[in-house]
Amino acid sequence: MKNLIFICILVISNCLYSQKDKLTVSGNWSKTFSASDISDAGNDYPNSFISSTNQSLITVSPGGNSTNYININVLVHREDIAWDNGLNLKIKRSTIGNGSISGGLTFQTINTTDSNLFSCTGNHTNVPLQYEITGISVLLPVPVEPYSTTVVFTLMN
Amino acid sequence: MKQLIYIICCFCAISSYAQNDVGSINMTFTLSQVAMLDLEPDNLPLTLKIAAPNDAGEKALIVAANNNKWINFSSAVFPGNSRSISIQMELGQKVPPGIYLKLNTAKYSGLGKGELGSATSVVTLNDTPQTIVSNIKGAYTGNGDDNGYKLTYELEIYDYKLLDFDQSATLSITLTLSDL
Repeated sequence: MKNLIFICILVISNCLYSQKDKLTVSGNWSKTFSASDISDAGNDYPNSFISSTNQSLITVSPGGNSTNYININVLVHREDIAWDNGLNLKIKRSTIGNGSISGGLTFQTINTTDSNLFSCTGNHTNVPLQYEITGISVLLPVPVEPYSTTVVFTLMN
Repeated sequence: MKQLIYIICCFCAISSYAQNDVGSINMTFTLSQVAMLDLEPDNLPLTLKIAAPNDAGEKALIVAANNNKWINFSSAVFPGNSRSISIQMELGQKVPPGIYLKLNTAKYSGLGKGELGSATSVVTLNDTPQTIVSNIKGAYTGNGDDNGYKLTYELEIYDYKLLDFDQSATLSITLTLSDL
């Protein structure tokens, strides 16, 4: 009987906490750089290019429901497909949001290893993300295939 | 057996609780070839003149005021490609008899970066293209005076008996930055 009770407790506990943390993100960023981006002959491209303020939208649901107030972290890293070390890709949250979300309000470099983007509790829907790319230059070889990378977000509690 | 069941149940609970989710988006940046060129401080006409000497028996005076221009350019190329700058007078145009119009292209100077190429020292202008800077790859010269390649136009008398002091010519000169 004891065993049965114990197993039931474990099963109930499992049911309560087994709702998977959910993260969805949408909004790729594609940009073509051309002579029209250069102000005058003799100049290089501008130092940086910035995406729209809501280039990507990320939704996080810790434990899959809004009543789960476990503090969670959203991590970010990039996985390069074709990249140049002179390029520097940055990200930030573009709105302050309510009090249950913090961090990520200034541009930070997206590295090839995870770093914390922001922390929050509860559900947050369509958090806007903005990107900055620096290092675009006429000195870079013009690639046959575009420079590309995948930005990966991980929800971690 | 009981212990095994406990362990399995615990593992299920822990593993479910520890699940994290992952999402991703793609970034794509396309760079185009760039070939931009202009002249500084402007592309207004230059005036070169031959004047009478101060004393009989002396050479004619070649008067050249503000006979300098600077080439500014920005260039982005595919790997392995390079560009050159050529110069020519408009097809059919000729310098008045007895004189050459020469162009001296100085070495690069300025605040630019990259593979800026190298200059051909002096060319005598005519209506066929002549390369004055070659082997330009990904580079920018810097913008404005004192950046890029300084051009100096000069007249040279090669045959006095052909000179006609009443003669003048307006010449249109074209510079082209192009792939080799």
